Amino acid sequence: MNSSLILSVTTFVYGLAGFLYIASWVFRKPLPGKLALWTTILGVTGNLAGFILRWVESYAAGFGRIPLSNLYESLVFYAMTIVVIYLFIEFRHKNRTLGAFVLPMGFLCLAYASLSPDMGVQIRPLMPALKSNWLSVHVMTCFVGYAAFALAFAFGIMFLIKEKGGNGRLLHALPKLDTIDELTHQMVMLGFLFLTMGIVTGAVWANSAWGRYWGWDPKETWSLITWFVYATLLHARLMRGWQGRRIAFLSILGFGAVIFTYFGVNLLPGLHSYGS
Amino acid sequence: MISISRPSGLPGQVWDFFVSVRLTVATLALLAFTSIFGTLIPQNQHPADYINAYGEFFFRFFNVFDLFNMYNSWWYRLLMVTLTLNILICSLNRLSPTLKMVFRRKPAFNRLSIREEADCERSARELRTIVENRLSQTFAKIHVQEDEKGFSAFAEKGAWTRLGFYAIHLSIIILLFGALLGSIYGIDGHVNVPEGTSAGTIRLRNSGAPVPLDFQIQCNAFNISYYKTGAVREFRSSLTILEDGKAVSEKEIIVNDPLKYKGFTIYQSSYGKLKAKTQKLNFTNRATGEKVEKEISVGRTVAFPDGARELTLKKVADDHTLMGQDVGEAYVCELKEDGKTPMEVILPTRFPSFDKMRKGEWIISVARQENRFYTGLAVKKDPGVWLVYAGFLMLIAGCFISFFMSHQKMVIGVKETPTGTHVSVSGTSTRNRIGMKKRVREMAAIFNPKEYS
Ligand code: HEM
Repeated sequence: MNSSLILSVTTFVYGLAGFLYIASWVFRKPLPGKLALWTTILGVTGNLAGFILRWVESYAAGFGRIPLSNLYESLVFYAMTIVVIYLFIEFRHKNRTLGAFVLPMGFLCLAYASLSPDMGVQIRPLMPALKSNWLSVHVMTCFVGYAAFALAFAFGIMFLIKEKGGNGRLLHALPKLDTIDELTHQMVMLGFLFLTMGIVTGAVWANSAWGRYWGWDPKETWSLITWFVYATLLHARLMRGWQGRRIAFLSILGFGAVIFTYFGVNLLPGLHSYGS
Repeated sequence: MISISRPSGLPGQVWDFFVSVRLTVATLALLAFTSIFGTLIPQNQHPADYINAYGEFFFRFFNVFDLFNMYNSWWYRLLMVTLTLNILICSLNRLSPTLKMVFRRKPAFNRLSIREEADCERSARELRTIVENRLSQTFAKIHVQEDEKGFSAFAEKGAWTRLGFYAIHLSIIILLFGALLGSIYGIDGHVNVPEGTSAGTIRLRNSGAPVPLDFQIQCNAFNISYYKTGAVREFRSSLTILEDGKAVSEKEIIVNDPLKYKGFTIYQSSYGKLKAKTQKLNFTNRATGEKVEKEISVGRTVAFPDGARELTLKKVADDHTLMGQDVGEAYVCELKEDGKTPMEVILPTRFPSFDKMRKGEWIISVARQENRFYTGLAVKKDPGVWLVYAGFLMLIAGCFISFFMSHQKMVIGVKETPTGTHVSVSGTSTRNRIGMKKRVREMAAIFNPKEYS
């Protein structure tokens, strides 16, 4: 039994959970909903187990380190964070239709990690610049932020679907529009706080490694762009009239920036090491 | 109380411009959008590279807009200054109402925006204790005012969280100010120090200008260690700081652990190998085993021990490839023998018996030699960094306060009626109106459980 096997299995558990959430939404039956919740809890346990086991394996390989230092490991952590935040929301709002939007994201995330052929599944030791306590704080805060933004994105989509579709039987099951709007806003705030912490810890780390807290390298710049987009959203919301649909659009746009910060930057020239 | 407010006339119009959140939205959106260009166009490269990549026309076009160094361009700075003025004026504008709200002593019993009304059978006297008990469960400050028909109760908490706004916005100004300070008074230099020597002058990264230090940095040793996989584990320089020849500080630095001295921070940043001036070759006689060592340098020729042939060192290649294999450092030589065409002889440093394959009378190999390194140190001084860090802390604290805490108020008014009492429950919150609505309904349910079940 090794971590990548557990995580591959977890991928399918998430897939199943997503399927069950969708089924419970479409057929409006409570049983698949309950099953979905338990499947999700099973999945997140597997995800956590895989994360911890990979940590243990790195010690066995002779250079113990927290598994947060390449694309594969970050995706594993990302999927876990998305699902954990989702579980909190489900417990608070008792509405399982949200799961139909969120679990497929957790699934895609892990599926990309487990199935993509050029993913760095082998456990490699850290290069000198990454050997810092700031690494784990930086990566964790960034990914909690990204996860909150992923949920805000899902809620944004949900808002648009519900608003467009009127009050059909399916859409009726979704939360009320202003509840979705409020949830989007809450996720954006959570994400903004953690993205801020992520940028700050990254800056402090860069300063301890290279003596500069800001260097306009593409990854840094893109995280700042993302930050600006969400700051725009937060302020736009304070102006009258910017609620509901426009906020939903902005949260979708913002998530586009997140995705680019995460994956797209590797296509640009720069220093950050993920994916290269 | 100090109050700074909108001036009249033209300054007033300027004030209006900078006070609006609409300007904030526009500026932030513009910053987000324009920042993208600098990530698509590599910054601060050589003009020739740009002309190569984009052609003459686009080179000129981009250059007009400073797109090759855009984060320092006038227009990007203008956006930053606009944002800063926006924050400053916006903050000043809100200062006095906010302070009144935070430090107000007298409560206001006016009804608030989220409201519920309930009719109750109990008397005002009875209700007073119930109201006080309920309110004190969630609120710290409670005021009650009696009037002839009943009473009003006012409760609030978290008024200070309104200062979160200032923490966020001021932190950005502090942070930008720290960055400005660093860019004016900071020093960003570099120096290479060979092992066993010391250096007292650094070169600035941007201009290359030399800057003398009032101390010397001595590199005692530089080491690279490797993981089993062959990847680099650590670069480590053992440094001593000398003043007037005396050691005043000592530290082994690695990439994430620099040395600090007199406001300067010294970082491990690069390294390199020092090439020895002369190299030594071993000539071993295949038949007798006799071994002779000879000195050689690039471009020089040495005679074989028997005098019948001679060898010229053409170059020392760092990464030589032999039959598709990278063999690392190798000496490339030419062998001359009377009556024969000259032949090339490759001597990989790491494989001393490689030359046996040539089947010559003498086997030549590169004599073992100590490699000496120099360590590349970034030497920096940034007097603004503490302001930047203070700004960071304040920004995070401010976001936390603004996002997860709120100023909540509740006013409950009780009036006697012929059948009992009429109760109005009202509340506001700077955040989570849905939560406040729920709380107001729950409160109203205490007085009229039937209607609010
Ligand atoms: C980089 C620049 C800025 C950042 C990161 C920033 C960030 C924030 C954040 C995180 C909030 C809290 C939003 C919320 O309560 O949901 C906020 C609120 C606000 N900001 Fe900014 N802001 C910036 C610039 C400005 C500027 C230039 C103004 C000037 C008009 C401004 C005016 C406001 C106002 C009026 C609020 C509402 C405060 C409240 O609800 O009590 N912000 N800002």
